Amino acid sequence: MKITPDFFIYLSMVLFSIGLIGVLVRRNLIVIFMFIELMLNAVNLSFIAYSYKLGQVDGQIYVFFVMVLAAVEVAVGLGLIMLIYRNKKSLDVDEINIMKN
Amino acid sequence: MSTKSLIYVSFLPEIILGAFALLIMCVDPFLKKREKVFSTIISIFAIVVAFISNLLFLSRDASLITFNGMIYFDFYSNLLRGLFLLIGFLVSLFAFKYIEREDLFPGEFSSLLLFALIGMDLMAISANLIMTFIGLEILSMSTYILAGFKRKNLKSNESALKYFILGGVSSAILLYGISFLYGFTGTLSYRGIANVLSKGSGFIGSPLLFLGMGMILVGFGFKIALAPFHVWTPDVYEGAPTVVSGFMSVGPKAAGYAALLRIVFQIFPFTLPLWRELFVYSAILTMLIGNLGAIIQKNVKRLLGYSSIAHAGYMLLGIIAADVMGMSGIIFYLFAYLFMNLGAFGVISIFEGKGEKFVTIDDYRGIGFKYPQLTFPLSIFLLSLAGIPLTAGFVGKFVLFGAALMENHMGLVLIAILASLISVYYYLKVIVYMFMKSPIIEGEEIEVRYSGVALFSVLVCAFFVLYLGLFPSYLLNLSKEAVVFLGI
Amino acid sequence: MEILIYIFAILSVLFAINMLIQKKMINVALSLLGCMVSIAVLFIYLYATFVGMLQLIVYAGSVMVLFLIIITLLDPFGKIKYTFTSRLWTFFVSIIGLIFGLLLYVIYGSEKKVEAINSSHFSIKALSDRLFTIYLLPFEVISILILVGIIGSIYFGKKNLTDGDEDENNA
Repeated sequence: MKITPDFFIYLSMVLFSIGLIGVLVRRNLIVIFMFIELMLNAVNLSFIAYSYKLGQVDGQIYVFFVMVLAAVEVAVGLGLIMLIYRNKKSLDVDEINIMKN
Repeated sequence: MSTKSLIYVSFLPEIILGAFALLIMCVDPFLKKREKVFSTIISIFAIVVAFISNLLFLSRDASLITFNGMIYFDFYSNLLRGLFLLIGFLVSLFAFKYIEREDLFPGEFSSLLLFALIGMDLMAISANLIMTFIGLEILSMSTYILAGFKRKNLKSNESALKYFILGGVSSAILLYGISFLYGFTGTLSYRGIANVLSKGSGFIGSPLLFLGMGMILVGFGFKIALAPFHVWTPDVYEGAPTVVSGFMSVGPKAAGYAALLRIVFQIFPFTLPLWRELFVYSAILTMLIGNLGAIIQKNVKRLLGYSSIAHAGYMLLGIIAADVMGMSGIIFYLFAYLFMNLGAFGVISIFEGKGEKFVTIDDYRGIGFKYPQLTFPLSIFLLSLAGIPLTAGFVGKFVLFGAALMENHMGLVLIAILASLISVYYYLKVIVYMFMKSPIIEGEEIEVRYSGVALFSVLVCAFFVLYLGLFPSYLLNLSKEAVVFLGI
Repeated sequence: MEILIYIFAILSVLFAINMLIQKKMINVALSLLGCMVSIAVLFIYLYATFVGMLQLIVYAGSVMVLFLIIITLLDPFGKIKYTFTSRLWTFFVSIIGLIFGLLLYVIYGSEKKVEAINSSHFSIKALSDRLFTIYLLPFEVISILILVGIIGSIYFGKKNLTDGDEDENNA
């Protein structure tokens, strides 16, 4: 017996929520980026599960685009992190925050 | 015209922009330092050519969907594309001197600007959510890089980083919403979703649909800085290079509203009553936070950052009204906002001097009659932002508030008027500092060096602010003609 | 077969939770890798063979390698702060828990119709057919996104090679 697609959608929600918590709670830049990747992975899982549920291949195509986005985000984001580390010698979000009201 | 060539015509301006952006990247490495300006000139040329091709192939009476249901070819696309190209044109004119003064890289700047324009165009013309999403990402990714364009400047780095992290999270949320919508309807084309939703009224109350739409709105709310999701705005605007802040305050906002209008009125027209309440609260919160936050600001860029939050709130009134007048009001306001806000940022970018030294209000003491060619246009922009009659800002607000009033949103309009009265205070403060306070005795004084190009573009902005204030009817008619294609 | 999928599903959640509580960056990265591989297995179970393979190549291959390179370049074994004990943590967890509960309720309340699945719908042929006809324009346009990414990472990453930067140093 096949597992129902709803199971995978629940799973994607769990992963997405963990990703969101991680972004909010963690204070290290690289780790925050990893949690954003986790959120995008959860989105992928949800697309695939719905594509399975609907019997359409379109959902898998959307995942391509999400993957491109994820790869680009990591490339630019890590470049930015390197830049900030060179200038500030820190990866802590709280220490980088210099503009305040 | 044959259908085949029509397909390419519908996408021609974007193709031109992309081709010239690639050309810049090929040419730029071979230029010497003195000749680097050439790439900015190419980008301006590209924008002009794209604008002409947009004008040549208008689609004033038909709405076509080309590229297998990916792109709308109608007057709404044409008008919004014209708006975006104007933004790009003015920003490149301001960037001319700015890039040279701050020792930045014109090649990367202009090609990224052209790519950002492509992204904005895609958001306005797309007929499929995945296309909208790709446009949004191209725009955001270019803007993240532009925000961090001063690599050695810690503030610029931080601004890019904040924008990047919040933008990444918001686009993940947006995507998750899109995936719910896909699961619910089995398609992502605007028309397909609208068809599925119009079939069964039972769908409307479904929480899953509500959730998907809510997440999509959250994603767009981040981009246009609506109230609960506005926190990044002041910091990002303060840290980014001034010309880029100007671009960010009008570009993504205009593109976000363009896409939001299509989404709200082409996909979810049946569910609008559900959303109106939420939009009303968000608008009230946005207007109050933007205006109250701006009062205490000392930094002019930060002040304009808060004020741009407030203006996003005013524009939301048009969506709440949800009729032809409200929506054409949004488009008119986007035009007016483009001229007044870009003009203001342009003048600031001239005044601040090398290394962005003079950006507090105190630096503006007593410069009013020293540089009248710049301070008078700046006063016009600020008065227009405040909504004083005879300026474009007043007409825009008048149309938007009037539209909301006609749909019986009395309290909302009262709050909006109150909020714009508050805004008069902090805009006038800058003008008072310029003209009525005595200049600083000790310390450095603003030393203005500008190029003819920058002055020209400031004057163009000032001219259009006054022109749209005095003769708004032509543009208003055009926007009315455009929003008809949204099918209300 | 199904029991294997349940195991991988649980593994992916465990890896994700492990990401939240690990103190060393390198451990967080490896947990993310584990999570991605588990998700790839789930993709293959859901007839998305090609996408599953891509997941392994793109995420587990290139994205994770990028992360690992950066971590080893910067600070591989340094411990990192996180607000585990603060009130912030409970606040966020309760908020997210609330949202999550709402989500569960929403999904549970929605219709539960599984259509008959024909695996030929999901063949690579069907996928490429759709990708290169209907989704041709997005497929082409997303190359611009990659291009922007390349420009950005080069721009942020390059050292003081150009005259522009030297001037800035002298000033």
